[in-house]
Amino acid sequence: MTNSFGRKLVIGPTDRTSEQRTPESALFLIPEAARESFVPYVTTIPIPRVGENDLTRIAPGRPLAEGERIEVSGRLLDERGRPIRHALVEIWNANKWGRYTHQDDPAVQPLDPNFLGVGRTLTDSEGNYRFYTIEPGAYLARPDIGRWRPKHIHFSILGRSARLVTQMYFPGDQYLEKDPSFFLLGDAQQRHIGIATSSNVDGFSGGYRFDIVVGGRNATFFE
Amino acid sequence: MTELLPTSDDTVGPYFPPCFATTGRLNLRSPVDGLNVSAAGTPVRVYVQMIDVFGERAQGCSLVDVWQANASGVLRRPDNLDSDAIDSYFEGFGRVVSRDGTFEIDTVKPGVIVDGAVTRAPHITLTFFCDGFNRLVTQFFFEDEPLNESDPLLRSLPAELRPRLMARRIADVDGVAAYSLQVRFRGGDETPFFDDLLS
Repeated sequence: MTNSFGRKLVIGPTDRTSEQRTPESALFLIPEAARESFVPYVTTIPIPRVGENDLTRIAPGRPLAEGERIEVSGRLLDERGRPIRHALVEIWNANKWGRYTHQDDPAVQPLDPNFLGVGRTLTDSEGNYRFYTIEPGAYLARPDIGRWRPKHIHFSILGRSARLVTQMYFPGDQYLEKDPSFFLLGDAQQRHIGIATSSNVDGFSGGYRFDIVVGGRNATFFE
Repeated sequence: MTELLPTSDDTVGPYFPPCFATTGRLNLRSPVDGLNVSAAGTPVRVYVQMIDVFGERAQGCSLVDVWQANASGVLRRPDNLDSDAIDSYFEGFGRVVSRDGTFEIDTVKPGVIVDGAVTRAPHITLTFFCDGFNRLVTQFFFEDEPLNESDPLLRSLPAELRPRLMARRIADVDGVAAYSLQVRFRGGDETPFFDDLLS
């Protein structure tokens, strides 16, 4: 057996599920001989429907959702700056009042009949992706201690050996400072805040650029 | 060469859209519904329970990636996609969403992986994305498999922890060999989880 250990995962402060589910024990190191099978290599990914990258309406031609329409775009790259092509990018975010459409969201904020809050797209041959969505509201995640979650958009990346689940936050958000997830990002915090940009799409107040680099701890031995 | 700084993991949270994946039972064996094709090998079903610090099922636990070799012990890789050893009907990868802390995998039993001097006992890799943490990775084995004794991953663990990665054989379900696996995220009998490939 090995005598050295991997990282000890940290509990997100004031996050109950984190207290209940974060291993007490440090992670174990993967011996060299067992590494290969830890990395999935995915060749079948679903094809998004037309309009599925536009969360501002449920389908093309349908009425607009309420709230500030924003463009969220960026490039998906590996650590050497090479584009990750034709990968699946999925996002989900709360509506303008901070309510998810997910059936487990206990929030009392209203649903928007024109907003599903889920979208998918594939990166193009240069690794670019683009979504249109509604700027999500912050929401009170812990009423008992008055802790809010800052505005954020969830991202999932899947394709060949790239796999990442992360979140984009918004610049200047007053709730970032006390957010357990944002806290755990440590030195990487700034890279998770979208960069405000203008948008030349009619009716859009602006957008955010969020480049995603799959690498580091998520890098695979194939690269 | 300049290296770009990587984007970090962040928690999937409790609201991963179930419509993006399969809910409850993942079928890796006949992935294309309604077509007369399925993977070669011995069918197995694995019942997985995810347990929190209280010994309760981890409710609202979002997303699990499943990855395994085919029945001949071959994993898909960029350099073997046209090899004869690849089963064209078997991807070996799937995503499953669990809302009640349990999920099932319908698959074929993974084969023994032989790579040079290294022999891996049949195993399946699970990556958990869950509200409360970012990502946890482990591999599980089949208790009735003699090669477990010599598997390099199992042997790297203290002996008393190895049984925690064993799926237990239970009574057949619908004529298929069934196994049960308990994954405990925290607390007594905590499952060993593994660090990334950089460490």
